[in-house]
Amino acid sequence: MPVKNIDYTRCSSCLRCYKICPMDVFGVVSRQVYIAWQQDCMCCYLCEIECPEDAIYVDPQRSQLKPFPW
Amino acid sequence: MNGLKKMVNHVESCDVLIAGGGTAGCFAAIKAAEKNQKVILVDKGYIGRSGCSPFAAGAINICYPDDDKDRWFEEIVTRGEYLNDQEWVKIQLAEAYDRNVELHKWGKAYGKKVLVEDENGEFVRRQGRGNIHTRTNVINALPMVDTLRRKSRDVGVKMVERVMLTHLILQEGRAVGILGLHCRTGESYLFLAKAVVLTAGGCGFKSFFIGHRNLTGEAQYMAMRVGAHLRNLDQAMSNSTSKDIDIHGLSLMVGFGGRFLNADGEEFMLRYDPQVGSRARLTRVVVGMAKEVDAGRGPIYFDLTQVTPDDQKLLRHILPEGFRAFERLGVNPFKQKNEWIPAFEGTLIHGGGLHMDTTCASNIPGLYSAGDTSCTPEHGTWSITGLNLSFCFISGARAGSFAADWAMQQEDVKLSKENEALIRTYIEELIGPAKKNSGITPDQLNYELLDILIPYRVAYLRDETSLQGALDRIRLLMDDKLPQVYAKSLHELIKAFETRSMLAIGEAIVASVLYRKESRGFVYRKDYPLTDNVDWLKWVMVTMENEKIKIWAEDFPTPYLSPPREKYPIF
Repeated sequence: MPVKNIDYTRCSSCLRCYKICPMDVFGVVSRQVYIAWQQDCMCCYLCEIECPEDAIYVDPQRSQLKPFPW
Repeated sequence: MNGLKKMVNHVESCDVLIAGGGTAGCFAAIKAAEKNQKVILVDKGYIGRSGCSPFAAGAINICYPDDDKDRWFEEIVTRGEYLNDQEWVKIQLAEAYDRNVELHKWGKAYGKKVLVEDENGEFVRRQGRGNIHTRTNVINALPMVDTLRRKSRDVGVKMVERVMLTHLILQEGRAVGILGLHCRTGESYLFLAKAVVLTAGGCGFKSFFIGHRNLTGEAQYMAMRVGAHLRNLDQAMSNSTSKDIDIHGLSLMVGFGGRFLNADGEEFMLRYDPQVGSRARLTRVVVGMAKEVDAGRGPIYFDLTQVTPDDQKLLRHILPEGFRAFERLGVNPFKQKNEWIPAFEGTLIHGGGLHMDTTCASNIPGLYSAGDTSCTPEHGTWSITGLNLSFCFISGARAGSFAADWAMQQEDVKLSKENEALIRTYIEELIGPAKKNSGITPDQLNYELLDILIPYRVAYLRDETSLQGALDRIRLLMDDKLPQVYAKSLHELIKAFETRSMLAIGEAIVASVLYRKESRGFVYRKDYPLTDNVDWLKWVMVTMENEKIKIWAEDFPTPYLSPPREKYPIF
């Protein structure tokens, strides 16, 4: 699982995660951010690192199955 | 122009258009703006958090003014297996220090620490991967990109974000603009410019490894489609990563004592590169791993248990994401070895791209490239660690400056009727997948492409049969499956075009590897296991004519250092 939780008791709707996500994983409805495209998360942690309220948790497991070299 | 405005939502004009806002793009934008040019910098993501740059894993090669440049030159060229453009190596050695110090100073003015300094205020330098006489400095990625973003803004660069650029526009043979689609509004953008600089990275195929999955090769694809020459795609690269998670920073880790082990616990890289063992170049590491597995000595592990406590602390500081990921898996990589695999990264970093001269100019007038989008001419195959990041600064700065000089001599662009018609067909191509209700998703096609490119007999231990088979399968995907891709949302529509781009670059890579009839760098051919300095001191070149790949090889000059004209085994 990639980006997994947004803790809405902490989230201040600053939208920093939405602004910076390289994969455009988040969506926004009425200034509330949500995880719109979880399968595209690449576990880069930028959203979690930059969240000023510590409201995001990213799980390191890959979001999509990929073929291995062997 | 009125016709245009009916077709595209936004038309914007400038002197110098920069496609891609990583380190190379920002440097290009800053240098062009400093020459009083009106600059627009466009990125698919948020400038400073897009592409490879924010994940640059700390290693950077900087030749100091008092370093022995001849020795560095020799190390870079011999370890780049003579595929380097030697004039570019000279430029790299001459300009890396100035660009890095310049960036570091900009950072300081903004309160950011870009290059890591020791307690005496000296830049920290280490022996990293591949280094013998050369050394590797340490850089903080996020302060680096934040500095470049802020500096770009401060010198008046106009930034346009979340626009995926897709089609390069030529007029009378010159590059005059790029078409794109906004990833969040779906509005189309046409940027017209007197000079165009492509700095939007390479194509990483959304494969393993951290941070590069929005790099799907659109810049290289759009250039190739209009006849720009690409070079060194045969040197499509791989790094390596944990089997379970995507982690970067290997150059630093092996520099601090990390080792590759096979299933027998043997540090097998000593067999393939006795001088440096696990610090071997990536070209050797990934083929070495595949050879071990092929010989029944897999799986492969990476072992950090010998790293000193001080260096553990530094690694955690420089690479917080990776170590955070290990922690969440309940793994302490300094206490236990971790299963490791090669991570195919295509044309990212030093894996080939636009052919260019020392002014960063392509074969198309007005079209420049820098950073990963270019053929990274300083590296050769893969010489030493951190060379590419400095190269992004240097080539970015040069591309911006030379593009500005070109732009100053050009008239404003007035688009021809023919081009207006062409743009209409481009927009149809872009939105085509949204008009279908069913078919194949971009993710499905992406998986099928990776399933062709990643298996080790195609990616590492190659021969004519495996490569031809892969090429045939990619062409089948292009002919049969690409037309079936559908998008049920704007987000999927963006991915649909990314997939088109990845297929084209994938085809160009495999065709380029197949073309090289020897082993050199990332090309290890079981059927041609010798490095051939008699007949193959050549760059493999590729372009497209009428949407078909055209491929050839070009002899290249070795003005300062020539290899002995002989053939020898790669291992």
